[in-house]
Amino acid sequence: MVDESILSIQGLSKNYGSIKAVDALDLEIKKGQVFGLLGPNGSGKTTTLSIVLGLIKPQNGHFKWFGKPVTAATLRRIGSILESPIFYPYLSATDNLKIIADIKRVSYDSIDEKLAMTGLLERKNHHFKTYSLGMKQRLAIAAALLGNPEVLILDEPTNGLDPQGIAEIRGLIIDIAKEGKTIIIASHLLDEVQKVCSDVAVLQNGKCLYSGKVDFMTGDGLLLEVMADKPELLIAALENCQWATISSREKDHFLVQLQKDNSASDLNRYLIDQQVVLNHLTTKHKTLESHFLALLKNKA
Amino acid sequence: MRYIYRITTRKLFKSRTFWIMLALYGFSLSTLIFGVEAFIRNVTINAGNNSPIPIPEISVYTFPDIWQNLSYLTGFLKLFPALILIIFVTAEYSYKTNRQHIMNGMSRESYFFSQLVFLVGMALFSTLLLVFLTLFLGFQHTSDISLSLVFSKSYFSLAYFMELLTFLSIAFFTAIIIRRSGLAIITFLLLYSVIEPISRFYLPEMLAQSMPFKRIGNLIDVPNTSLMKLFGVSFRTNIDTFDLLFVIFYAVFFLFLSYLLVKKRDL
Repeated sequence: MVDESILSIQGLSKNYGSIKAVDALDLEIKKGQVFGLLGPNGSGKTTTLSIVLGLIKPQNGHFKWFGKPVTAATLRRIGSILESPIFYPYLSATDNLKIIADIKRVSYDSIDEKLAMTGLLERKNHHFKTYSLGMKQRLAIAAALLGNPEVLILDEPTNGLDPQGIAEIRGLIIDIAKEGKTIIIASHLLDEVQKVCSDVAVLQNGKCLYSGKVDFMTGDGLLLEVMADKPELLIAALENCQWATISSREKDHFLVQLQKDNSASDLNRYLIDQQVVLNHLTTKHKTLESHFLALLKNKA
Repeated sequence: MRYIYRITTRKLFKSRTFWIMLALYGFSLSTLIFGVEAFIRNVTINAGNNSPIPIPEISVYTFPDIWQNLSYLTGFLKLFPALILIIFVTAEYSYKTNRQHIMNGMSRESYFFSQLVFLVGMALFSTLLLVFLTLFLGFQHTSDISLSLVFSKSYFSLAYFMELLTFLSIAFFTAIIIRRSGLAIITFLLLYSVIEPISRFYLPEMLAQSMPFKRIGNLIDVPNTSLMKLFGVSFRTNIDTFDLLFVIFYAVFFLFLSYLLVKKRDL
């Protein structure tokens, strides 16, 4: 049951004129994953989500939710926020959620519980338009949680929030993930994906550059920045090395990814054996960012 | 289906704008209907002073002619419900709540249906207001009352319902295709008061007579008031079946086009 497919996308394409918003995209999201769709603005994240939510029609390819084509009934099993929080400004939080409960065909009983969970219970009778951005975002999450959906889709959930708001929302997402729900998060913030997600797909220009575990992408091994007097020798030496790979290059700076059990001194020793002398060696902070940028650079 | 009614009514009935616009409409309609007799009397008195023959005094409010009189009159204000409809239908696009509804699992058919409920509701509200005012004024101004007399021309209120329903269908289609409230209102006003009337000049008679707004306007003809009798003008006092068929056709046509747009268009 762990490998149960939640969303399966095959060869999905959507063009806007000559711009390929989504370009032959394949994705596989399994039950229980916290899946990050990572990419810069305009990389096709929102378009992809709009397609799988039945809002826009793809030119090519297909997708399946829970192994079946999408219907309104399927969407009622999914809680989703796309772009900004969308509610009737002149209605209170409660009334807005009642409309959504009616659409999802669930009772009104859980509304207060969701409002409490997102810290909005005291403001539940206030009009949506009087809410701060953080409250609007939290209400959107409360709305997405109505009817206990099996899947949550969150598009840029911390966009425009202050640091405290960001921390609150992330805490909320992590709590929800602990309940075992499948969560799909689109974000251009690497550190968000790193903090929250178990799996990630990196998108650029509508194409998937990388798809896999976040751990694997950040790597358990060290990331080193090195410079050598003779870069070409360094490249040759590392090409023959089993446990170190060049993940990116910026002029004469090389980012080298080591495997789990190897240290910086291992690399240094190996290179000296290979007659390569380093003039610079630093341990880089392991972040998704370096990998992400490396991916974008390599494939661009 | 019940949940669609709940959604639609919650959206509208909790909006202050909706109630204000509805109240303005009700107020304007009542003023028009209550004031028309005094207005006509004023005109006929002045005319009567210069007239060689006495003008017969017939109240606008007597059964059964009141049905046609007031239905015709109410038709003048049909822009009001049309504007309310356009404002609330386009609001869904500017709030993007239509997108959110689809994402949340409302089918596009249900979404269309919920808007249709609003459209038919507006037409029903206006018609019921008309029927209520007609009965109220009719009973006050008719001396010999019999059931057959009271209701003999009540089909005019049904004709008014169709007139408004078709008018609203065109407004609805304009709102759905344009999606922005200001632009949709201007387009609809232009279509109604400029584009169709002018295009009728250039079209062959048959076609000109069959344009949507023309047929809608033809459905209930000008009532024969005392003043008109004086001048010997006589208008139709029945509903033309051909007009009715055209009006029904247009309602179905524009609603179907709107349905296709809601069903097919990317959001």
